[in-house]
Amino acid sequence: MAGRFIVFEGIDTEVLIDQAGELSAWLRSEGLVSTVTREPTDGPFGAQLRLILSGRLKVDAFTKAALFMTDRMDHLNRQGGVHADLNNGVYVVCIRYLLSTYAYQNLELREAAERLFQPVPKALEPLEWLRNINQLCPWPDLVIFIDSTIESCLQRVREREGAEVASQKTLQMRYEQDRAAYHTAIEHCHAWGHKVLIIDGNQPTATIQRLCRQAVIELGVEK
Amino acid sequence: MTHSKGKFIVIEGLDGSGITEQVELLKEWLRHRDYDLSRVAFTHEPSEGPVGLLLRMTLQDRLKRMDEMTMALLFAADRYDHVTTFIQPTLDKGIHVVSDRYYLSFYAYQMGQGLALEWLQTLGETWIPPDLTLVLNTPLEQCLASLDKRPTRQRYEEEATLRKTWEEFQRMIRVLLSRGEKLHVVSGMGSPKEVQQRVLKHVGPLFEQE
Repeated sequence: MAGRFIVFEGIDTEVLIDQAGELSAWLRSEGLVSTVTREPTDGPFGAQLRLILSGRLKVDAFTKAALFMTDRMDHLNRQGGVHADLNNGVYVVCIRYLLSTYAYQNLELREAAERLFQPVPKALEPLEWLRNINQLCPWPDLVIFIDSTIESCLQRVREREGAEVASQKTLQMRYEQDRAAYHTAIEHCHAWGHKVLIIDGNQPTATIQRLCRQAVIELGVEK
Repeated sequence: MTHSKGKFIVIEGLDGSGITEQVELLKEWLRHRDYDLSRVAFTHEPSEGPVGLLLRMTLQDRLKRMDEMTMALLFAADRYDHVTTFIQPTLDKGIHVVSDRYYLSFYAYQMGQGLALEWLQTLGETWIPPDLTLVLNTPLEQCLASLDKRPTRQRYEEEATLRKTWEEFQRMIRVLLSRGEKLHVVSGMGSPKEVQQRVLKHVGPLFEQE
């Protein structure tokens, strides 16, 4: 019996962690085997990516993109990885996957490619390039994009860090850019025939969870 | 992308073919000719960068063994980093770069593991082509004898793997030549000094023209 590969995407990581955890717990309560995983992973390449994302290790955009893909391939194919779990009937709930790549790395790679080539060759158009490189990674059974509002993201940061107004402005711009990048990526994914379920993040947590469970039920839950 | 200043020279071949030895002999040759060694930089792949470190750990099986697609992506990540942080900036300063391995090895070894050339070439879209590539054609038995002198064999260093990889080297050499790359296959038979004479026939003029 094959499992299911369910991915949560969005700009507010904490919402994704909460919803993924709740969904996996619900699946287990339904008598299924479920695990929560995330990208970057806790493997050796994920560790290096976290150094890069925190700004402690500097690399160019292509190196970073290739490391993300290395980490993903390892995530999928390693012993006890996603493919093995799916073959064993596990419901794998993953926080971030391909859609995040298409959203975040599109912008970075475009800038890097423009610095290297004028004009940028067709083969290096970032989304097409990323799609080609990731062609061996399966599209999940269900991709849920939780469309959080910028204000809710900022509110969460304020509660957690008590951030200053000045940094709030920078954060706001970053969240706006990220959200727009996700929507661009979703448009492309739809054009490529990949389905993404968009859930309005400006709803009560319980409502979002109910919609997620409904989408999983529609996949056909096999006990 | 172009590099009009320094020349980019690559020496390739199978594991145990004598690449590292030839690079050392080239350094020695330049030193004896009082060549200004600040005008040439020597490097190798996997690189000394952060990704190269991970790659070496995987090749030595110190990290749990990974599938070939993961390996290919890791090699690619290391090469992006190597080109961006070392090769291109060095060439831009007018310094020549001599690299022990580059993308020909990558293509040959990964194709030898069954990966498709088209996918591998997508990874290689931004890698600058060398000004000159020399491929050491060393008989497999000689490569294996050389590897036997090392304390342990690394990943890709088994006889059957090397045999298949050499077939892919030959296939990829034809592809690179058809792209107009300057590439010579040099016999690796004989003593290191004899091989060096063949290497210098192609590399020497690049340094003597100055």
